[in-house]
Amino acid sequence: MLKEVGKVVVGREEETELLLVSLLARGHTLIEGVPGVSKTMLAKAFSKCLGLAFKRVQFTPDMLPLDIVGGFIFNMKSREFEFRRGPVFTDILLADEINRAPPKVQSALLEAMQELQVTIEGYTEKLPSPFMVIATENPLEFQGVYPLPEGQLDRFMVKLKLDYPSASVESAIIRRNLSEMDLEVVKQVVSSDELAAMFKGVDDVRVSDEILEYLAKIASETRTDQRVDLGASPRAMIHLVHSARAAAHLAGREYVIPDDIKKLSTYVLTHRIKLDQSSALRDQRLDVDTVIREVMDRVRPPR
Amino acid sequence: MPLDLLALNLLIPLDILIYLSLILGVFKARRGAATPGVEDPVLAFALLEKSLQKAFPDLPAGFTLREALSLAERLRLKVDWGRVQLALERYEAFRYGGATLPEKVQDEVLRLAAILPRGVKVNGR
Repeated sequence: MLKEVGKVVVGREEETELLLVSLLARGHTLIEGVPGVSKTMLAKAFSKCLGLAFKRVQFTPDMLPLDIVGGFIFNMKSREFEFRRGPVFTDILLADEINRAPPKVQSALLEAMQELQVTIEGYTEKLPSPFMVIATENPLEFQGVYPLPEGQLDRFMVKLKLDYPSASVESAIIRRNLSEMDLEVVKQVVSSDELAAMFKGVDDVRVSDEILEYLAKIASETRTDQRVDLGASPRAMIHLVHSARAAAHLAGREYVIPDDIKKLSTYVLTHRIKLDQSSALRDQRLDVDTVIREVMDRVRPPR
Repeated sequence: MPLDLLALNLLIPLDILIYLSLILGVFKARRGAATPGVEDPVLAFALLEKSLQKAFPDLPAGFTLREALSLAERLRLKVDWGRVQLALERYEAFRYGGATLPEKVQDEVLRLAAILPRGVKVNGR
């Protein structure tokens, strides 16, 4: 799969793996990155390798919830209201620049993400399975954006930060783009049966009591850290254990080890922990990722 | 030579013998404590953990065995890392996966625990 995605997206192996972890753990992914770092191509290639339906929505300030979840349209012929499905009815939805849409639209999508169904005027329709939202946001824009509140950020299982590629990777990208890039070269490498078996495999991954205690200690440590204003929520820890199960399954194990938790902690916790303003002002270099790494260094895993 | 002087001279080698056997006995007992029975993988990995902590005193409390072993691997010690890896995987399967206790795979783990140097500086942390 990494090879297939690598045909059109260079140097994003770790991100591809994390997208798969998020999908198998039935989570959603938030990607933060400046324009032009292959966010859309990565999401398209990822869906294509898995043979999943893909839709992309560019979020804008004039959007309405109807544009995402769909709504009732009056059919002149039948003289009845019909439910017209919105783009959310797909397997993988790329919500491009989610922070450009007004809060009403954001919350409509985030409700769908949480409930895995859409309810409009008493009519409920389930979303397809699997369903994953890959939302993107540009970290440099402050004008005309509606930042996602903490409660809504918490719905995303994983947050990936797509930085500019290294010089060697960038030259490889430019070389590859000398001829026209075509998504046609990406082939489906996982059948729907294989994908279903992978989901089942993740469900069968065992989590020992000691690992659960380890998770509880990590949560507590994030909440008691003096530099942290808002620590990891119980939902964050649930997301962490689910993603660790997916990672364990991909590594060929039927059990979670502390290394799975440590590896995923930054990606799962980074968007949920809020630093204390005075600590951030005192130490300009302090960031959430550093705090998470230090927390993981302090908490003794079961050995 | 008077008889009492002869007896005194005989006492010196006897003393040496007694002290030598005592010293050997202490060394044997210490070696025995450092190499627990191969039937006890939990003890073997506990011993490895202690050795790793002594080898890398800068390791934070939150280190995992895999992380510490990857540091140890860089020291290019004469250890069969494949066997160490296999022993670790079986131990993890027992520890976190509820598998049965592995048997006789930890001799290389014990060897590693015995030869790990002390006080190695961890770079890049």
